[in-house]
Amino acid sequence: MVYLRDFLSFLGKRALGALAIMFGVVVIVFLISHLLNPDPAALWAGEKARVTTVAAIKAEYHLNQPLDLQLYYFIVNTFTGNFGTDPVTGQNIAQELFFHGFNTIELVVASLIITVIMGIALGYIAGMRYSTKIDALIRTVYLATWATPYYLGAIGVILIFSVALPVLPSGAMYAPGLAPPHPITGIGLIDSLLELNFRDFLSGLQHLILPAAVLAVLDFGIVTRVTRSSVLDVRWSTQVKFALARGVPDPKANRRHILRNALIDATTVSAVMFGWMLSGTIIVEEIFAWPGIGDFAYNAIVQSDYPALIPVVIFFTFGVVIANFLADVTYSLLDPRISLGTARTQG
Amino acid sequence: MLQESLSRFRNLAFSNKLSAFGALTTIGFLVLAIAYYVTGGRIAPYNPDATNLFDTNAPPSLVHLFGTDYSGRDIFSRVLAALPVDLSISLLVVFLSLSIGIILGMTAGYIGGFLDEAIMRLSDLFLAFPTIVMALTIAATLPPSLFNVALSLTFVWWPPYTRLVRGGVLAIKSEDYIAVSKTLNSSLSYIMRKGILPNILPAVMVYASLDVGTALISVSSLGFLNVGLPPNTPELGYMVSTIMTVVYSYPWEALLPSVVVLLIVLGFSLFGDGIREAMDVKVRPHMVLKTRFVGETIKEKAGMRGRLREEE
Repeated sequence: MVYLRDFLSFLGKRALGALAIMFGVVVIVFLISHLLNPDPAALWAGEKARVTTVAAIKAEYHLNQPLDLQLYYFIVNTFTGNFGTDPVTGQNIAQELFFHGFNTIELVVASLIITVIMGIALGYIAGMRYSTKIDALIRTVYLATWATPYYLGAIGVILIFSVALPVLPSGAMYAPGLAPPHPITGIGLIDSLLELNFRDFLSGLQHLILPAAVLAVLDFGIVTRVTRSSVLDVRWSTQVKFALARGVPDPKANRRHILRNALIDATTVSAVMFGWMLSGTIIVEEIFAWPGIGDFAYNAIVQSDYPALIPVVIFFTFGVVIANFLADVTYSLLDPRISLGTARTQG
Repeated sequence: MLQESLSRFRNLAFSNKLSAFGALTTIGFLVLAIAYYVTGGRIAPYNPDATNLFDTNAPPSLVHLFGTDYSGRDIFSRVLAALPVDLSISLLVVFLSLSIGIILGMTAGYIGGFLDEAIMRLSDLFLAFPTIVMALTIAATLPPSLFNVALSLTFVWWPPYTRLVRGGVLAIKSEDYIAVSKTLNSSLSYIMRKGILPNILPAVMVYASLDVGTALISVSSLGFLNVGLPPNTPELGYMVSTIMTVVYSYPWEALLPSVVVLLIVLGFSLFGDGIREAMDVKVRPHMVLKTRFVGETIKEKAGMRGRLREEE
């Protein structure tokens, strides 16, 4: 089968590209953390650090060695996951990253699911009802939510659903006093289900609703916008007119020629969304006291904990690169022209 | 010439209600920010930094339009003082990214070859960084200043501009008039300046006007996380974060400054989105014909036809 071979070579090329980008990311983060500031050891040790502390940090992170060796150690340590111990909490940074990372993945995946469903549905409706009141309403809503800063959204829903009508908790992952499930997969909701611990599951779900909804509602706009404009792109195109002319019933033509085309664009943009949402988690997790990677990053910045901050940046960026890779793969599965090298040109 | 393009711009911006609202909001906030800056803060009813411990956490009233914060500072005056800060940083971010995008994108698109490959791979690389996280890290590394906040955001902000410009150049590059210009032995810089730039600029400017709002959200998010700004700078996001501890008792103190952010960003988005739609040739013919822009053109044409008939 010719198509499979093309698909596999496309997959290989994209995987290599993603690896190259990851490598470049590590180099750029190195340049920022080691070169942008003339004396990184002093910055990492904090303002009032003793000379001996600065010297110890220099030794631990190889800062007293020539730059090329520093880069070598940095790359090796990053790809082997050896980030040392966190000077503030005294724990292994890689373990901290894993714990917080899975909590963030739980949050982001939950809101990504809401975003994609809501975004595509509303975008499709707006596109099909172009230039009507419904279209204007959906457009205003998505522009307004897109324009809402995360902190306003988070404070707003807490004020409404936790203070005015106290129905949902305003912070943390589980009710106080409830022991979290033992980590199996690392994702709390799945773990508590596997352990048949329904109290944890329900409490976890309750605590997940508000932060996930804030992230989703503030970010669905971009998916809606892309879906709407790709519906508009093909709605009056010849292929749809032809389908209708040869007697394809309306709903079927809409589904096969308009919705399907819109889905392709929505997939690509979902990967971009993933990056946006990761950025958004910093503020949302901070306000909801969700022990995720954004909260971890914020604490690292507040405490000038650079040895912990640098791996977090790399972790975030790798997350985006992997999401982009997955989107590319889905994209080529939905639209075989991509991996066949006859990709349509995007205007 | 200038008058004509201004009136065309006005027609575009006011072609539908949403973008007219956007244009008015945008212009309003810009005027306020400039007025505050030019008058040195004299348009504000109070000194934004003056504390008054006898009048803390006052609710919004005619004396204090937005109320006062935990140390008795007038929130309305602080919001006014924050406008030039927030708007200038976001405009600077967009301007710097636009400049980088035009230079790199035109080089990549027109010259092509190895340079194109290198620039596009570099922009792929920078596109992978989540904006706020990366800007946060850079801003935390650089000494705190407004300019450094703009720089740290620009660091992750330029790739979409480069791609947009490059795409535009690739679409125009093979047009006949460029080929003719080349045959006439025009210099490279002449073709770039007169042949290509004016044709890609409208699309890029529309994107930029939408983008100022997005940049403003990121600026105020950095402010909210209190990274990169000099201590006590009046900045909308930072103002919200300083009152997070009392937000459940005095919600308006956090809500009013963030609603101002919302209004500014919404203004820029509605404005940019409206113009984009009105300029899109694929979509414009299907717009419902009651908008002012389309309506006027039709009226004008009808009027001209009428006049022609009279002359006959």
